[in-house]
Amino acid sequence: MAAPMAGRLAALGRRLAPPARAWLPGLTQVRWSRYGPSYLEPEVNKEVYRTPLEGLSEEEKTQQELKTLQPIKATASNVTSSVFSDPTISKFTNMMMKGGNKVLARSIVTQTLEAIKRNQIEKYHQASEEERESIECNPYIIFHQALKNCQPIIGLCNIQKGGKTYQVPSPLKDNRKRFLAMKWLITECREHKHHRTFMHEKLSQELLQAFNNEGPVIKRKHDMHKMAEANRAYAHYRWW
Amino acid sequence: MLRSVKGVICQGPKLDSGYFLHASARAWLSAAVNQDVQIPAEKPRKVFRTNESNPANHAEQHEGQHYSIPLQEVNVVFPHGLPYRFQMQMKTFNESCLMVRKPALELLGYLKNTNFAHPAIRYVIYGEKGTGKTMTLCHAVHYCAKQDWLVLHIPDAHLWVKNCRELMQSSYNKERFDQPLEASIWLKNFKTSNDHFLKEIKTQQTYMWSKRESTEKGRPLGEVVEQVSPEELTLVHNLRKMVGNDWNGGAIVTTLSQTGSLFKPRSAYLPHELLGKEGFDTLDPFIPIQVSNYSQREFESCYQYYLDRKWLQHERASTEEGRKELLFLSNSNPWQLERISAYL
Repeated sequence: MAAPMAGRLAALGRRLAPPARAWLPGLTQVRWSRYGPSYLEPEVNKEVYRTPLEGLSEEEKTQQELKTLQPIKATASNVTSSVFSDPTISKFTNMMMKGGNKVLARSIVTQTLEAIKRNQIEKYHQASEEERESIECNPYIIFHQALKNCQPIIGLCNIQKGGKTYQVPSPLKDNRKRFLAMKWLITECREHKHHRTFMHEKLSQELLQAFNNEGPVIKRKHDMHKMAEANRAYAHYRWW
Repeated sequence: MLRSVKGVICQGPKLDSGYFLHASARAWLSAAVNQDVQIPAEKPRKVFRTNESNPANHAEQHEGQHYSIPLQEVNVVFPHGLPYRFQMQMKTFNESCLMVRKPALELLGYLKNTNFAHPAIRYVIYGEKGTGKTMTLCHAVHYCAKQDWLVLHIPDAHLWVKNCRELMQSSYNKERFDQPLEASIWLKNFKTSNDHFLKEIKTQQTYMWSKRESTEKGRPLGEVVEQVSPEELTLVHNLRKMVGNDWNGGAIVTTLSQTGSLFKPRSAYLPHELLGKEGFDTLDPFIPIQVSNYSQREFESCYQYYLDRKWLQHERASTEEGRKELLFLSNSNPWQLERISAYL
């Protein structure tokens, strides 16, 4: 991919950043921000402001003083100080969203969580004493675990050599793994299920299956691993 | 009208105190053993359940507490009429628990003192969206069923007027139309709830019922404009006859709701706004009963009930922060609280 080239450019940009020169001949900035370098990131977590001054280390004290002097960037609209906010769920909602309809995407995700919880609590109440320990009722834990189970360990990337494109096994970054897991889940529900069932029903079934390490998404992950294993010979085509 | 009772009232005697540790093992703790981790140490023990399952015995001291109805009774008394989300909750928790609230207690008090020789009194339950009007009505229906009244429960009059699939001309009166689908569904449910009375009722032209109570819900109509106007529907015509207070020996309890009403703004909840002039004149005079959002105590009770039933699963939901946030997000509105705690 363009990964190695972009990596080199990023490294070059970082080395040149301290002199605070935003412009260099021959180097065009692709991603830039209206905020200058002195702007700090906002802190949304209420707990941080509640810790007493004595509890902080020297470093944190200097940081607090810096915050009173330096300007702070505005928070994004999807970030809240709510105790129930979850960045993974937000990311998943954004990926579900079509045409900017965040209301619909969010309602689907909340209905999915509700459906998972209802399923599990029904099972819990009908199960016997010994089985109750093993039944997980928290939809958030199920969601996170299912996503973790769907993440591939190794991925394939296209490398062109001698006019042919080879699928070369390569390690994946964390972000890429999370993205692939979510993407597979959503695509599976959208394309391979009956179109008249509700999305939240399909999603909840998929998530519960992935939580138990079964289902089509886990199969897709295993297929990816097998392809990587099969293309082991081309591994040396990768130079990073 | 709302009594904001700060803190909690520790219930004294025997039957009403205790926790449900298990749905299956309903062992009442008579000793004041505090085993719940979510209660902060400085506050006294909170009680959100009561053992009293007969609505006739519900009094002021049970306010804010949940009482459970056995599932077989629910199937008989409420073949229809419970809100959909409550039915889902019943299925999930494997039990049906209603909260005893002030408007319901008020209504039950009036019903207890009905004089059957006098004409039937009309009660109208009104309030903002999601405050618990339907549940108040269901509480009253349960009471009446326990007192062996004949209950005519019409869950939603809007369903009869809107989106009718089949219309048949009535054989009794040529100008009127029958709705066989809705009528048959309602008759089936009526039969389930009032089986024991059906033997006593004989088919005559003039009906003389010994003890009669009719419960109906919905907004008596008026401005519904369709191809067929509601005056022409048999069901609606008979509903109107029942709502008139020219008969004695029972009571009429109605609930006004904006959901499902046509051409009414969402913020309208008062009787004269929702009924319109014609509807108001038909129902007038009536006793209004207002239902409002949860008080502090009721919110606390509902929150503890959800925690106990393992409905609030989020790890932060059981903390003080989570509770404050729930209070803020829902504004103590029962419907809103239920929807938020569904996905937490």
